[in-house]
Amino acid sequence: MPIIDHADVRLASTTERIRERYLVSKDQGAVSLTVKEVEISPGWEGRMHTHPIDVSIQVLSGAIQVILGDEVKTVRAGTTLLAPPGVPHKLIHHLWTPALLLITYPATDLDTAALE
Amino acid sequence: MALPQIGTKAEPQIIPTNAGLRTWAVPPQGLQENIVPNDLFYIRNHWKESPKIDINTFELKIDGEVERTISLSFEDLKKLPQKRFQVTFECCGNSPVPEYYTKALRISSVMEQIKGHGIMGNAEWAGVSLKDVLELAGVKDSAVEVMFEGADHGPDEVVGDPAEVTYERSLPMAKALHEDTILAYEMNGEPLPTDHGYPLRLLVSGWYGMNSVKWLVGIHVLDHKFEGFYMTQRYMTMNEPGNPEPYRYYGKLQVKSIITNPVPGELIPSSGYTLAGAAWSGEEDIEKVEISTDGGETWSPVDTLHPREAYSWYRWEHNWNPPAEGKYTIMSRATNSDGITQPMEFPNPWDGRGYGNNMVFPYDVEVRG
Repeated sequence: MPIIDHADVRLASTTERIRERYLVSKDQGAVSLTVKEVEISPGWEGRMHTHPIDVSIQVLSGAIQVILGDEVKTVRAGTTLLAPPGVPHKLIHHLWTPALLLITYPATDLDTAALE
Repeated sequence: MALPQIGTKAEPQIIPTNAGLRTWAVPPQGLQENIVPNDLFYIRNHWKESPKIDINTFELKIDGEVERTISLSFEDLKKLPQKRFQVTFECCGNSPVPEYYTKALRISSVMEQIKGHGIMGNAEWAGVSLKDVLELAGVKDSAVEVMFEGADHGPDEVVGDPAEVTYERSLPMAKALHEDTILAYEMNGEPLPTDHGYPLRLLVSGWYGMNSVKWLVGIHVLDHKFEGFYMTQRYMTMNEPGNPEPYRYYGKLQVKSIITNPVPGELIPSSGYTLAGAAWSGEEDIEKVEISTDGGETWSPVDTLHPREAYSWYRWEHNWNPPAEGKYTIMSRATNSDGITQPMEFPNPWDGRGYGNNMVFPYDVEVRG
């Protein structure tokens, strides 16, 4: 059984303003689960999108903003967002300091349908 | 003092880190006069309710690295020599112009609500020198910074974390002891309005607005650098990863200029028009203001650059005879007495939120008729 030491997996830049590290993924032998940390820096805006499966987004530190209709809600550490299958969601970050999120979904690969 | 009547109101603005009804911007017409009237002057508060302070029981405490802890009433303060002069300042979130700094990003609904240069103003302030007040208490040699405590407090306005924080900022000794750093009790000849810090606010001449703590109730002389929430967790932008300094903080105003005439949407007659605007660099003088009417290809000095009064903005005018009807991109560009000129691009694009923006602003206008 893999024991994943977080000190061995460093946050690495994937796109501008985003750093990620996989804690559980197919690379560690998972067949139906992914757990990753994502650090988002101020100035980042995601796109409205959906997934065919549940995705959980737990705010570990800092805060992030989520677009719900016309409203911008700010969610901070101590909060978990559940994006159910097919429900559009969009995250943006226009706050002061980086936000650290723990993303979990029951698959090794995540299909994303962009809506904008 | 007689102030011009402007038939328009201050407009609520949402800036990226502000949840609304805490920021009010001067309308474009309000920036066309030298003095911005009190009822149009920008407001950027951290909580929706302004503290209500009774002037009869008001006390200003001065403590910390001082010979004597003292407490001054409003009457005590009024007995000190009065300073009265104009000061222009802006919020460091002023001029967020989203289409320029979110080049690589989609503009979301929240970003479309921020626009223009209205989170600033120029007023005539009266009060007493902070230096005179500090001398009453006697500053010790151990003093490193002076921290200013406002009466306003509550949960962080956007994130709610911390659940309780007081608005506090600090200044290095050199700026605190400068004779033009004042404790102001009048704004444009009237007692400070409630939303501007009644009865007393700090006024840090030549610096960004968030330094000028409102509803001032405490002055604490420190033997160390103050690292409170509003000094280290707010009012900064992130530098590009790899920069040894992760954040960039904003103290004194940067060199900047704006065009106030025409206002957005105003048509320019082909027979000619007097462009006008303002330029400032806070602590420094403005050396020159230049105008381009061809999108930055060619520049010429403005016809008239009026002198400033104390720390006010400089007002300028420039006669323009457009060669033909059509659309033009006009720009103004200021250079200060240190030889620093406004940058053509947003100075910290990596953060992307537009804080500390002093770029040369392209302004699209139409000449018709």
